Amino acid sequence: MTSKEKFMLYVYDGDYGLPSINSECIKALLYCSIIEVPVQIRTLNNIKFCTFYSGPCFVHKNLSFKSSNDIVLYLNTLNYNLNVNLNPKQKSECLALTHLVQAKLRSVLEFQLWIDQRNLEEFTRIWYGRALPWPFNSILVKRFKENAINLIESLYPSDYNTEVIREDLQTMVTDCLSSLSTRLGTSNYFFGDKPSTLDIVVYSYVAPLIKLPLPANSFNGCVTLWPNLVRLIKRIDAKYLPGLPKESKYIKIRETTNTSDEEVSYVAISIFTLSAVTLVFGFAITRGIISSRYF
Amino acid sequence: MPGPLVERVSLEFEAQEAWPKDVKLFQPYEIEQILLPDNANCLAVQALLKMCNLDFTVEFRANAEAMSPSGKVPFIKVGRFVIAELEGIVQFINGKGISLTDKLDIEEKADLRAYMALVRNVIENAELFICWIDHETYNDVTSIRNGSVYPWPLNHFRNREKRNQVIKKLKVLDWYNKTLPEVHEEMANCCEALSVRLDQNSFFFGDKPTELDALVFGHLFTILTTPLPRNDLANIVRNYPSLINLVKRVETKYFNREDGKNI
Repeated sequence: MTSKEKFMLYVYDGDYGLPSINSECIKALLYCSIIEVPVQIRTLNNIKFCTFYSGPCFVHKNLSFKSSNDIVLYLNTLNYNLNVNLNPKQKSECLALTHLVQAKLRSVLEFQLWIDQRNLEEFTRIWYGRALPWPFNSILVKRFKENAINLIESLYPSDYNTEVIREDLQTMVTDCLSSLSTRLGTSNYFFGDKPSTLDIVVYSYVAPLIKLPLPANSFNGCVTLWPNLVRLIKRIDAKYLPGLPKESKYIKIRETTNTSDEEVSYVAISIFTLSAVTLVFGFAITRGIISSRYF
Repeated sequence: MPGPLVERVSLEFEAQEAWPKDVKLFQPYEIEQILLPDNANCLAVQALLKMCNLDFTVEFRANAEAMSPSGKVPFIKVGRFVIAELEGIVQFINGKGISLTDKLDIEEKADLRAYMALVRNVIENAELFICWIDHETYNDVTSIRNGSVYPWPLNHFRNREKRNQVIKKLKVLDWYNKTLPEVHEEMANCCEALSVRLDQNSFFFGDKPTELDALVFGHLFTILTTPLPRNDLANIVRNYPSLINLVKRVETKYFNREDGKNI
């Protein structure tokens, strides 16, 4: 196989036990991993890749595919089909539930990462800022944020209050997760003992909700109410995505900046003390409370 | 003066009261203004109310969209309440103790939710795509109908504004860059899934209709009966006789029209 005939997959970096930070990238990665496509995975973390590709991007020969949906359709033509064993009824259910997840959980995740002001400033922006090279970090953050705003605006054309939207999303996510949990029941995967595309879609939206350490994570508790969904995520982690480091690659840098923050504050304290003492003495001397023969 | 709590309690009491006589459903003008996706949603709500045996009168307003609390048509006015869109209306009627789905078990309810999302995500987006993105349909039908209630030159501005909104929506949902054959394929997949779910039953969940039947009826009936320069969506739906039969069944049973003469 020459280098042109190899399958290449370009994705954004993962963290916190996630294969990638981006849901579309997770779908593509997980699909390739489950069906065992011999794919070479490249992380979009240098300027050269970021200039030519945006995640996820699947390259084979001269063809490139830019969304997980197109990637799956292309792999299906090469006989890598995950849903081939489903009967028509299961296929129909799989399609319907996929759209349910897509419609409800995607907007929740985008809201959490990009609309919630605290999460955006304290987590998302910092994470992307460190994981991607300059200037792509700021360009992509801007693009993703715009996308999320458009998504929420198209769902709620007349609501501008984030709190109202958050409440509505909360009921939506509860409904959706309870439907999924009922449908999953006690089985290993949604359709028997083998994963299907539905399991992948569910993983790609639920896993980030559970795993990302967002400062204001009001939806995290929602997922843990359904232990069978959490078990599904752990099952997929153990079987198809082994060896992902749980701890963060980028949080270490954050910790060091935190300690340096404290050092800075010691310096500040000593400067303040010094200036306060000088002020007091200066005041005392000008008023003549303290006198010395030197001045 | 009653405090806010009393006000709220009285509102809740009123919400639980029986269905009043003067319920109004607001929607755009059917003959000259309404567009395919809006018409489908309005018809779905009408079907739902008829399935629940609730009286209402239809009011036509040129600016129904701007009057609606969620910015989307249709909406109903019940006493002091104004509720928009099918999902909201379903929830509101459930609050009054009227439900089409109380006999379903949890698994069926999960299914119901999933298929509703499927119809909303695929059929509605396909309709929006045909109406606003396809140039032939946009120029010949959509721009004329959507602008019909505004004087020149406001109609052009309103058309452009609305089109930009739709494009923005379809872009984030990854529909904008689809080609026409891809849209057809999505539509066919969706119809296939629906007809498999329907199987040989008279309605999606046994022999009683649910809001899913209302939604599917609204969309498919509108697709089948609306004359457009491009009738490819209707041709796709016609490949699924069980869905056509469902549409005919709902039409004769709840709209008292002649047996599917238009379909």
